[in-house]
Amino acid sequence: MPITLQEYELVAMLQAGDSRALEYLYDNYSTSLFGVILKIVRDHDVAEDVLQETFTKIWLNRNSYDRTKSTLFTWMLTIARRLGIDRLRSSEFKQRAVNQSLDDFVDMDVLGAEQPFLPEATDLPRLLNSLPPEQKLVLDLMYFHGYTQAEIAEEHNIPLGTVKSRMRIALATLRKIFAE
Amino acid sequence: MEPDDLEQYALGILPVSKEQSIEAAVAASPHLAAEVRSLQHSLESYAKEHGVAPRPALRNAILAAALSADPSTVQPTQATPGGITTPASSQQVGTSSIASSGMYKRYAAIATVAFLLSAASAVFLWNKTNTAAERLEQTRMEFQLLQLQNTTLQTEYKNLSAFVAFLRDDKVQSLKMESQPTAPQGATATLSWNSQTGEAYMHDISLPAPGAQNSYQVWALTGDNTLSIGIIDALPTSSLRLKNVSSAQAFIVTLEPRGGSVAPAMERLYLQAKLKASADNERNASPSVRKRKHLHDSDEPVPGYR
Repeated sequence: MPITLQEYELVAMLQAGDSRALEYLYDNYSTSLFGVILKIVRDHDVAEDVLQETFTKIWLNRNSYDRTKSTLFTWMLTIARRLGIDRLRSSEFKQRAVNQSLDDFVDMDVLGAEQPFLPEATDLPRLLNSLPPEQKLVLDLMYFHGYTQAEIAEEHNIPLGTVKSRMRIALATLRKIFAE
Repeated sequence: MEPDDLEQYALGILPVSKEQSIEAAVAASPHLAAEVRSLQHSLESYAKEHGVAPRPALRNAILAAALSADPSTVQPTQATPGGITTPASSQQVGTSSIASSGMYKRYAAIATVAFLLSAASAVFLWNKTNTAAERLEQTRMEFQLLQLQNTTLQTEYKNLSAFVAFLRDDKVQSLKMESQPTAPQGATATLSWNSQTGEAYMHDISLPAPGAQNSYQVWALTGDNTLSIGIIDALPTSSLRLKNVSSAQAFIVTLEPRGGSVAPAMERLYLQAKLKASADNERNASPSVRKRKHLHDSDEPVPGYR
């Protein structure tokens, strides 16, 4: 049976520089982190590269994790999302997506267009379907793509108030779906 | 503080300038901290739903690369960058100039004016309709949001009222759960139990978050029997209703793998409260309590029980 560690033990091990902590993190969280990165960059090779960057950053920045601010998982997700978003916005990546403009790329993704090369990433539980597409769009643009409310309002031509309500209601629905 | 600052903070889209003040407010208020924790928990679950396993061959390569970036030889980089850079700005709309040349006949000019007027009024009407539709949608959403919040508050109020009513009964004994040597520093909680009705609550809980891989599990000990009376995946903000217990000699809290175990892991015994031996308790012990239950077949959560 695999060992289970409590989060504070894991943090203590990680911050003491014990490499087993990093292995444990990889074994338990790489699937979630990779899925999120893939959702952002939409390219397997690039996602693998960003996953490596993420674990390197987790290891290098392990002492800056502050458990009073978030769980370890949220902290790691933040690192993965930011690295993914940075990569998506980097000029190198834009060069790769030569056949498609970045904006189209993002819109197609969050609008749930067909993703023939990533079928597993769309297999969400039915419960999440209760999230209306326009709310999911706003949530995903913020969470996976790092867009601010004002940016979404401007680029999608939606009033700021609507963006705000969509975000709040999407989060309230998520809280209901994933009620603790 | 704006009404949606906490949501923006949890999503990581708050401007850096605002992040610090929100962090300070959250640190100073257990209520706000619980809100943020709950939002983060939802987003963690949302992220998990998108999980895709990386190729197994990557594991060792990634770990080796990360570990070889040795912090004793390599200057650790600064903490996670505080903000997200703005995305590529929206495309500039190209301006096209209409070449004007030549003579127009008079009626052509009149026709053009007429056309422009009708086009302008169509645009005006379209805008008006659009704004009304947007307002309607926004109002509908605000209403939905209020409904959701109302349901949450109603549930909280119901739970709290039940807890207050429970505490009023003088049959209730409140036991301070003592921290055990294996527990993290400062671990404590109070367990209140009505030995007549069997109702039990845990409250004033001070424990670190169990983490994504673990749950706390509350047990009632009666002689040789151990009964699971609650599993805690996320710490409650106030009280936690446990399952009814008709007889107990002690209550303990252990740390278990996520979802709980069939028997307590005594090597991770965190909290314990012993009851004074009472002939009454023994007499009241019901067969259902004496029988060891299997967690996943028979343990139904009770209302308000997480």
